[in-house]
Amino acid sequence: METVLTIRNLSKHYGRIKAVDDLSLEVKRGNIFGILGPNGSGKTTTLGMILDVINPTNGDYLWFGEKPDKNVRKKIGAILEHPIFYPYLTAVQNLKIVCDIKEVSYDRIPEVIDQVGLDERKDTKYTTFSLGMKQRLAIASALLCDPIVMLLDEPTNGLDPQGIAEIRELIVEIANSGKTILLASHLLDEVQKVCTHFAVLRRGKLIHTGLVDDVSKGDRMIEVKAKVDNLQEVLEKSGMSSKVKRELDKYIMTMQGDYSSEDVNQYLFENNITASHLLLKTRSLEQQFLEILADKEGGNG
Amino acid sequence: MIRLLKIEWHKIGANRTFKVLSIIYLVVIAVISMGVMPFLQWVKRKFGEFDIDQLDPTMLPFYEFPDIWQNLTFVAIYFKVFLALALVYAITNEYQYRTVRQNVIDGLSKHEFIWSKIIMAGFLSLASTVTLFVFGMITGLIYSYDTSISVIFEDVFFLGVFFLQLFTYLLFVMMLATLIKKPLLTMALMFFIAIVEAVIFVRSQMFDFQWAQDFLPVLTINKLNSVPFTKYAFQEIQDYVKLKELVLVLVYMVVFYLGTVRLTVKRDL
Repeated sequence: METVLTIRNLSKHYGRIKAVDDLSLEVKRGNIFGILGPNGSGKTTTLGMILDVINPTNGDYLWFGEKPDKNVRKKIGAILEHPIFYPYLTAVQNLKIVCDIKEVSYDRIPEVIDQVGLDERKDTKYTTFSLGMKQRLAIASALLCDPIVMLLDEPTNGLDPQGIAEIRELIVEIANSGKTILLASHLLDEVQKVCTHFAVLRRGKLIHTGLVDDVSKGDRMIEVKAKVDNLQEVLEKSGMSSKVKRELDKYIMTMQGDYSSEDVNQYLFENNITASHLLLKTRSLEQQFLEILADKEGGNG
Repeated sequence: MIRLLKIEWHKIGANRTFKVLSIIYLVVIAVISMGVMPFLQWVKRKFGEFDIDQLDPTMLPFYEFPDIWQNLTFVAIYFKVFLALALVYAITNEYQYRTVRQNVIDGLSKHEFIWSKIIMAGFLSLASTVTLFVFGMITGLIYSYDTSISVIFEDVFFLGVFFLQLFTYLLFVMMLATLIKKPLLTMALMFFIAIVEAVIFVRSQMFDFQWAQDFLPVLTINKLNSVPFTKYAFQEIQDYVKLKELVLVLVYMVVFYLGTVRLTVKRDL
């Protein structure tokens, strides 16, 4: 698969603070790549560097396997942090400037405005926009050049639930059209809902990369409740789980192999136990994320 | 280049502050070009009866070809600050709104960003020069006795000097605005520099170290066109441009450009 973005040992130091520390990453074509990390973990700094607005202290990056120049950025649609536009200009006037910069025909403007649903407000000044509209205009602007890659930084930040749902829907729609998306977010749930791949940053360091699917595949858990005393012992003997943990009145089995909840049910039945509660849970990215962070915390001291 | 000018045009076309400042400047140029003679006539009417020397101020050939070109440009250049403020606004806005960052993200290089401002400065300087030329032609034709082509265009090169002065000053201001990033602070710095230059100028004249004047950018720019009015008191004037002064201004131009580039490229936007 074609590599869209290669980051090699990228670092940004502000004095003694290492905002990004020796980061290496690869994004392939068609990936919806989530960069996860708490606030201040270096997500925006990383995106800033690969967009040439922040000068790296060390390391480099390649777009489409080549050294970056301004013409590459013309093919990228990007929003960093909050939307930025000329407040005294209307939506259309603002988009015209972006068209001129990206050398795209003005004909695209009505199309993208329509795509993000800003038709009614296209001739009002940007200052009068609500945050949701600003965010949508930013996405419209990123779509202008029909980009191969989109970079979105906290695209749902500060929006109300409906706005969040709309923007996510828009992102999924864009993703389905075959574009590569790089999405930075501190919202795990967002990454899980939208992304195919993800990386976790903490204090500027890359601490994990992987497939979002693997997260839910690898760690299935089954909650079991039954009115017997030696349930833990029985469950441990089953050989279906790697770990059995008690949590209040129920036991949580971390599954291994292809065993399903039916197998557990069958097994309990054979041991003359009737489960009063049997529930398959895939571990959410949130738990995974917190565990990753906790692991590293312990590991690194 | 057309693309960069188009981008600039879209940015400032709807900006009220920019338009107001530019219009003020054009009005000032118009007033200088047309207003001195009516003013002298007013002086004559008002104070005519007290006039002991029988000197008629309207006899001054302020608006006559070819004197008009040096006279007009010499006066007009002192009002460049209005145009400079418009440019200060256009540049500091980009940093205040952080649109410069978005411009670069969208695919403008930092050099292109600077060039778009330089092209705008060049365009403004050119527009001012053309305006001055048009008004100069009109008033010159009204007040001159001799309107032969050779006399009209004799000293017209002062318009070129004016353009160079204005453009270099705008590049100076561009560097300051890029350095400071805030409109009011930039204006304060411009004011401060003007005072410092004045103090150094006076002291260098008093204590005879005129060489220091070459290090005063604004003074150097202004000096390119020497005071023309003393000739009306029958003194020698410099009605040409000294090569050394011209070279100095060109050197400043390059310094301001390189300064702006360095500030912009080194900076995290």
